[in-house]
Amino acid sequence: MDILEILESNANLYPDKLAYGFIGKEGELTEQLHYQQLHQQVWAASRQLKARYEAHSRVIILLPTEASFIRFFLASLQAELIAVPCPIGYSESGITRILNIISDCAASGIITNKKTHKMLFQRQNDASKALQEESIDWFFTDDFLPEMIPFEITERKTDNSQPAYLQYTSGSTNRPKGVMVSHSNLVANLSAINNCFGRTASDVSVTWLPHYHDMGLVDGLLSPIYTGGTGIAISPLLFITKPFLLLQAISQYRAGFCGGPGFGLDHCIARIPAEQLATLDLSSMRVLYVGAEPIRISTLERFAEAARVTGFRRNSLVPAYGLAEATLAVSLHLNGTPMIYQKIPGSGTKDVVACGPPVEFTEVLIVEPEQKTIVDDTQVGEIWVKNHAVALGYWKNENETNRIFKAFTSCGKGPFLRTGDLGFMENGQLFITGRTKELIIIRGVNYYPQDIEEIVSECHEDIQPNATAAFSVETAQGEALMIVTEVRRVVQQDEDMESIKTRVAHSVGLAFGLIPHKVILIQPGKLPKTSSGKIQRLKAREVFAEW
Amino acid sequence: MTKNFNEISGWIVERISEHAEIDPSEVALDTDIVNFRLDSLLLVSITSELEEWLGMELNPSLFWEMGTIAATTNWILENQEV
Repeated sequence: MDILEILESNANLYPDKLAYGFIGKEGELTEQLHYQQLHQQVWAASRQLKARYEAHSRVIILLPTEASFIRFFLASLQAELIAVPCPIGYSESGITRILNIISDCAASGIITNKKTHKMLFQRQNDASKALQEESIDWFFTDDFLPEMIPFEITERKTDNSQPAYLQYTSGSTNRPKGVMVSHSNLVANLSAINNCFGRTASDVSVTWLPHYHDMGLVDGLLSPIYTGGTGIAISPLLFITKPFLLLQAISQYRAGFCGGPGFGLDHCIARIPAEQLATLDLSSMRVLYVGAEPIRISTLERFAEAARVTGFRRNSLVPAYGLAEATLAVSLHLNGTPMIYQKIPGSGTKDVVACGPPVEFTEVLIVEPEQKTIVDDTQVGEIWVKNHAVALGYWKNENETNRIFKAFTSCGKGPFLRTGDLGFMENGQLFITGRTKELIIIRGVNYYPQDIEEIVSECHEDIQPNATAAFSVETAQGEALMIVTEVRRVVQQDEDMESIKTRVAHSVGLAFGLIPHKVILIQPGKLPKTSSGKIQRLKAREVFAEW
Repeated sequence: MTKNFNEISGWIVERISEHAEIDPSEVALDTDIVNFRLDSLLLVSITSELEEWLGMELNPSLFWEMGTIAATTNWILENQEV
């Protein structure tokens, strides 16, 4: 059974059950989709798409958190197209990212709504001009009227081992990587997640995660359909502005499931007054998973303590580990059991939390990343994964696909997915300790250092070309961005230095919506590089992190 | 009901001074917004509140693109829908 057959089956079993509700600014439901209605709309929309695009065309889905996203995402799959959920950004860099994704997957169409379309072109800049000149088909969901089309089910000849959708893995500006997820991958991971969670058709979940992100799409939106339960969605922006609405929805709908990056928990505790928290009942929560960025024990403890007054149980916290390349989840703590803390072997001081055992039918190896030798899994090494949810590879990127998805150990075991994350196992539990990849993850969003360095290099004439390192450092607030860059010798005045730092911070803010935690300007030649001139970011972090 | 330059810039100054915990008199209209060291989450919140107050759609990266309070205010004035 693939996700569409599962939707059909649930529409027959629970025709009048709420599949999705969307939360508005006052906590009310602005849109509701019931199972039978959703099923019929998906089929009707798929016929419209089928008439418009050839099978296997890539279609960009550029929609906010609203019913039309799930309707058209599933309709694309039903029409045998390859869906490409895409982050919405109206800034020049946001539009550039959309352009890069369009060109990377050679998309045939963009499914959006008129309001989003208007915002994209609200301001004239090079990127919005380029988007205007794209010879791409725009499909507006505002024009969709399901009742206009007679409902009939058509046969689908889907090959479940082919890409169903592309999950772009970062907010990257110039090297997007589209993970190809098949129907088989998707169902394998949905089964693993929901079996582990013990989620049933009578359960309700709430999500605030962006649906163009693996966690927001697979668990936030598709788990409810997979289990025949109800999903309540609140837009990420509304959650940021009014985090109370999220917890209020959990309380009101007696939701059992919710999750996201740790900063979401911090945000709730920082922004919701204690007396307001005390009005809620969160005793229905069985799983509050935490993942998508390194998990801080202090975040878990603070939330458990603050939310105790609501009836929230500490054992409902579920530290989780996964990545888009494995569809979503690789390991999940068993909910209802106490969290496990352990010291990192060989370091002896820092505690890390167990992200549970690997999910069903999953093999995990701990491997020495340079030699690719299997190490005793109680030692720290790179995490390698094998299961049916490991995706097909990156769209049209054979080199990276071979390197990441088809790795073999020195003794010939494989193929495995190399996660680029470091960790160890203890009593069947997987612990994450760090990263071999130089990826920066802030608030659950991935950033490639090269993209940030490029912006910095070009933002001021006194910055040396190819002499910037961007990396993340641990702070009390979580992972934060640090930038070290060489400036020309002529710059000696403090005020010049300050103005360069401001320019760097501003440029990075504009391009990525991130404020650097620290910008350090150094003399030419002081940035660690290899003999061939490659920037050594991890070395730079060792040298400068404590400045 | 459109608003004028002083009303809009005054409103922004008030929000920034509250969130950044600095005296409103120190929030200059032509200072680069990055200098207020506002967390990007706070900027998103301020933008959302501003949207509601003005009754117009704003792009969350507006402050970054405009750079200063004065420039942001001018952009809003030019684009307010009567």
